[in-house]
Amino acid sequence: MNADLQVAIGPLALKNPVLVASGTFGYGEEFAPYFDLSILGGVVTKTITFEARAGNPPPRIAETTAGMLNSIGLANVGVEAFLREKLPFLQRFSTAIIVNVAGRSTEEFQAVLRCLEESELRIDAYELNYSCPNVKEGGMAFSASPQVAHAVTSALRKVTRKPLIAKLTPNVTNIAEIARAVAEAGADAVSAINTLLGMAVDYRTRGPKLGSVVGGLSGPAIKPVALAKVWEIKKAVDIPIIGIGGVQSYEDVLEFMIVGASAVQVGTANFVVPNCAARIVRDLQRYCEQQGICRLADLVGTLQVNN
Amino acid sequence: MPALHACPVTRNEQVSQTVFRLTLHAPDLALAAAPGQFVNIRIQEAPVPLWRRPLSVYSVDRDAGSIRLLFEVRGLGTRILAASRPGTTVDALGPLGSTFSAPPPETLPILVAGGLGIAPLHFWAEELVRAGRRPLLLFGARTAEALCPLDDLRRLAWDLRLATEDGTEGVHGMVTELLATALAERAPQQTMVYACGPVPMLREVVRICAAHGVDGQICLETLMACGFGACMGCAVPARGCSPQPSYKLVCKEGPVFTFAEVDLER
Ligand SMILES: Cc1cc2nc3c(=O)[nH]c(=O)nc-3n(C[C@H](O)[C@H](O)[C@H](O)COP(=O)(O)OP(=O)(O)OC[C@H]3O[C@@H](n4cnc5c(N)ncnc54)[C@H](O)[C@@H]3O)c2cc1C
Ligand SMILES: Cc1cc2nc3c(=O)[nH]c(=O)nc-3n(C[C@H](O)[C@H](O)[C@H](O)COP(=O)(O)O)c2cc1C
Ligand code: FES
Repeated sequence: MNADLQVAIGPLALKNPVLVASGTFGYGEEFAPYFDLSILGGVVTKTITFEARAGNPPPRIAETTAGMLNSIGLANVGVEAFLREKLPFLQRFSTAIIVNVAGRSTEEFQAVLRCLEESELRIDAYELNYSCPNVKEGGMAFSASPQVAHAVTSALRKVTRKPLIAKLTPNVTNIAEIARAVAEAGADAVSAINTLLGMAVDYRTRGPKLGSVVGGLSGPAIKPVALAKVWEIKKAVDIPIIGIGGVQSYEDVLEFMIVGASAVQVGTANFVVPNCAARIVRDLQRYCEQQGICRLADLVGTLQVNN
Repeated sequence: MPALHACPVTRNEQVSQTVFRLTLHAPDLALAAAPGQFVNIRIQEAPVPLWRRPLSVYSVDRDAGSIRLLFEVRGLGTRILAASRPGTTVDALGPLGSTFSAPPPETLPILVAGGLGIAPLHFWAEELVRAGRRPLLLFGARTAEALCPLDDLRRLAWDLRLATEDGTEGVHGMVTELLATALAERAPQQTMVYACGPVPMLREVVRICAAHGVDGQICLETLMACGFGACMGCAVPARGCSPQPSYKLVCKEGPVFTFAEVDLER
């Protein structure tokens, strides 16, 4: 028996629920030596902004217990070079191409999206990175306020008919409220979570370990937080959720799906085991066959809770 | 092409109080690796330590199908690696990174190593000797015990000059003083410098070479989360005329850079 691993993220059909997370998979090329990218459900590319960005001053990364901190600072080649030099590479793989975009303002978000819309290259969906801290609207992160998240999503909805996935930050009091706002504004799905604000200090030098003092925590350490956020969002909205945070095995995928995620993204684990996402797909297939699970999608949101 | 390799440990020798020399059976790596390149080692199948640990290729034996690494115990990762015994297997990703480029014919390659910076330069010296060149190796450390492994270094057909900061072996002083002396002995176009060691040492190497009009390459170290260009964590400031900062990735564009590529002053 061949288990069916297909899942749907709203209008976006994926051959399996294993995607790779923005900023942890380069533009795909870096991983091609290690496995055939067509195995993946989808690739989410590094965040693209309108202009190229050099990123933050080093040191940009620090290792912590079961996690890492980063303050890369959205280093990227800019939308034009992305279309010219990076996106063509991914076209040859039969996997969903999801382009992650960001902007300092709603206008920049729209400008990036318009450039991508004009391209003839295949793009299957957009993921909106709502976690960058510098925005015109009072310097607040896009997904820190439901009003702002709603306004930006509505503005972007007008630019494209392709699936829009709003990527949410966990660094808010009420993530479900933000999810509700973007769903109302027309987002097709949400992905959760981006990194958690964190910090590391060197007791000998009494200095921070990151050049920008604070950064984003990712890796196995954040999986419990991510599961809780997916669960909170699941209770609040009907649109599909993509779970992100510390996924490194097929068991992790199953846990996220049971809690309510329709798919997951593998992030930090790609750095440690470059063919990790491919292994997870194979392990999922094997598990489903052994367990007689015909349709993996049936698992979504099956968490048993005794009240 | 880099790949994942499961490498059996064939030997692990302690060569000083804190330094180990690890021999791995790795025929593909032995064939593919070039001087300056590194392998990224997964310490254990557990989330701590999370990242792989980059180590330079110290030596290859293509006939025996083995590679050697030379490392110092600094923290958890290298401590666990130091305890690995023959029969166990090491998960190595590689070969990764850029390589030293050949010195022009008729020039003297001068290799300047500070401490564990000897690791990539030892491999480079071996290759130069195999190619019929006779490099000058300048090697410095804090104290005699840290000048290791001298058994390998004394065996081969190159010129070796030593320096220690406490004077317990070789010249009393810094390895960069040996460099200044060596450069003063020759016309600038007759030498090519290759250096690896702590950043303050590299800064001094670049300064001395600039003063003598000598060109060369340096091998850098940074923290690395991936080692193959995916995380953008290993950035170092690039040298350029633009006022905007720009960066180079040590794992992918390096670890070997020309003097002109990176800005060690920032
Ligand atoms: C390309 C490259 C080649 C290298 N080659 C060698 C080699 O041949 N031999 C060798 O002994 N070491 C080499 N290193 C350094 C080596 O990777 C670190 O010593 C090692 O990762 C420390 O791991 P740990 O778990 O033992 O220490 P940790 O517990 O991670 O750290 C202990 C201490 O070491 C410092 N440290 C950690 N990583 C690095 C690093 N990459 N560079 C400098 N300091 C670090 C930390 O800041 C901390 O103070 C190389 C590094 C790079 C980037
Ligand atoms: C080095 C690094 C860079 C990242 N860059 C981005 C980015 O450009 N855009 C984005 O939306 N998320 C970025 N992220 C966040 C990840 O996509 C993901 O949400 C987060 O790492 C949690 O998943 P994980 O625990 O599996 O890594 C980055 C994460 C890391 C570790
Ligand atoms: S270590 Fe990840 S890009 Fe260099």
